[in-house]
Amino acid sequence: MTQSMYGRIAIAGVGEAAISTTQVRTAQDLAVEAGLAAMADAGVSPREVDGVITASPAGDPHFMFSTLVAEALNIPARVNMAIQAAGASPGMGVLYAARAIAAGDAHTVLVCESDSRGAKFKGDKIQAMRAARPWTDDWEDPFGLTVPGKYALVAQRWMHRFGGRPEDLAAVAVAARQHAMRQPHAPRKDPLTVDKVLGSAMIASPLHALDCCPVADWGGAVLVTTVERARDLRPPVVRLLGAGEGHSPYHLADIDDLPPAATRQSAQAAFGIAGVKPSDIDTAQVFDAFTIAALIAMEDLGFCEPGAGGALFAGGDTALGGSIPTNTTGGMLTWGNAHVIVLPEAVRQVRGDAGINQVAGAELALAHGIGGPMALAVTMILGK
Amino acid sequence: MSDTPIPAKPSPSPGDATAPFWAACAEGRLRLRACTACGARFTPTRAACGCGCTRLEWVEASGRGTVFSYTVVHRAPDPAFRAELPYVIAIVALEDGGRLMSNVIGCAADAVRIGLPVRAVYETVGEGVGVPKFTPA
Ligand SMILES: [Zn+2]
Repeated sequence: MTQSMYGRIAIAGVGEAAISTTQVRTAQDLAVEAGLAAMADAGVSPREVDGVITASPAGDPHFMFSTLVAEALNIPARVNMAIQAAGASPGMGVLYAARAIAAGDAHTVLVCESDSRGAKFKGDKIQAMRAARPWTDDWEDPFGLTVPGKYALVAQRWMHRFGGRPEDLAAVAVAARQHAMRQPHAPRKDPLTVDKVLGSAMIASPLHALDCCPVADWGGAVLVTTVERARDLRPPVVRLLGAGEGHSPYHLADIDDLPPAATRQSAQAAFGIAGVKPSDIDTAQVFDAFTIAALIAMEDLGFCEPGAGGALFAGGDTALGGSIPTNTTGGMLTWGNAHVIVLPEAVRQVRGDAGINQVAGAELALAHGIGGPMALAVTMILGK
Repeated sequence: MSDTPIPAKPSPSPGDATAPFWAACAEGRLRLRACTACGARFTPTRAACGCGCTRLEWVEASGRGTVFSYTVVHRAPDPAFRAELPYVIAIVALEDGGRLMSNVIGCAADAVRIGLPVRAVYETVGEGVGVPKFTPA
């Protein structure tokens, strides 16, 4: 039995490719650009990296994607794989990188997530994404289910259970916008109100257009290594103090209760390993492709009671200066469906390097991801 | 004037394990999988019961149930559904066990509620393949 890897693994570099809803980029170019940025941030060359883990781009699918990225970056990989966990892929990538390093199979692993879903799909993005998907699901597609529709089914159930209202969901979008409005380059930064969200087009009830993130092209990467090695690198050391995965069935109809247990399962593991509780966390970066996803994530992560997620966002708790500043970049609701966005931001917050939306004195950050409509989840706790 | 043909909706392409479910739907019947050890019943996405038993049998189900959750879809995933917008997608909890993703049809979209009693109706979509839909009971 080896000693636990937690506390001995660090995230030593972070980087992004420009997120865009207008410029067509390939998923490979975006992964390479983000990977180069993460390595430059850490001050290492590709020759000093010995593992590559990528997500599997859905809008720009490719055979053996992680091998292509390793080839392009000329990384002498001893560990290489593409993960197929949708929005949970970046977090899973960090976990598998950490496991490979702890096992002694690699010492420094580049984890990338990228996709090309924005500008290349003209017109109706829901239809374009469906058309790009090469498979048909027997249990969902014959009925015209969409991705927003899946989250809508979860939202409707949440409202039924707790007497929640569409205003609760809208509060999440308004809170995200407040973080975005402080950033000059944010793509969505005009003032937003609950009424504006409720007045936007209905997509799948109760989700309006402004309950849904924009569809974008993006790339993000982090460099995972040992704490020992990270100490020799330029950036301040940020450790992985605890993490966990959660898994529920793929089909929403087959999940015992909604919301699925995946986030709760992942959080229980992460908090248990790190030996901290939700009230110890200084900032949370959670999956928010849809308002309902972030709302339920905050409940499932233990930042409020079940049913109180809407009030948490509406009451200013998730704002800078609140009890748990959340999605300080403005999240996916601002930037587009860049699932990886939570990771570089959590690292920068712990470094004290998050710019205008830095949480003063942040020592512990939580990063969370969801894959498939809440089928998979990863929770990570990062600290100095 | 629009005489562009509406493309076909996606239809199931069953494997051996699930073909009897879709074939029964084409005959106007609903079948579920049942565990021979503990009696649990579920939809055929599962090849093993949660109790660990892998010997499952087909049982007939009433097709009655209630709406567990629903959404009214205003933006379709492909043009085949556009003529029906807005339409209702629901997860139906079957009285005999298990849940199915489906549509609620035959009523106004705003009449659908969680807990609404529904019954299965069937549409044949291919050779030996039917899909279950639901309508207020
Ligand atoms: Zn059983």
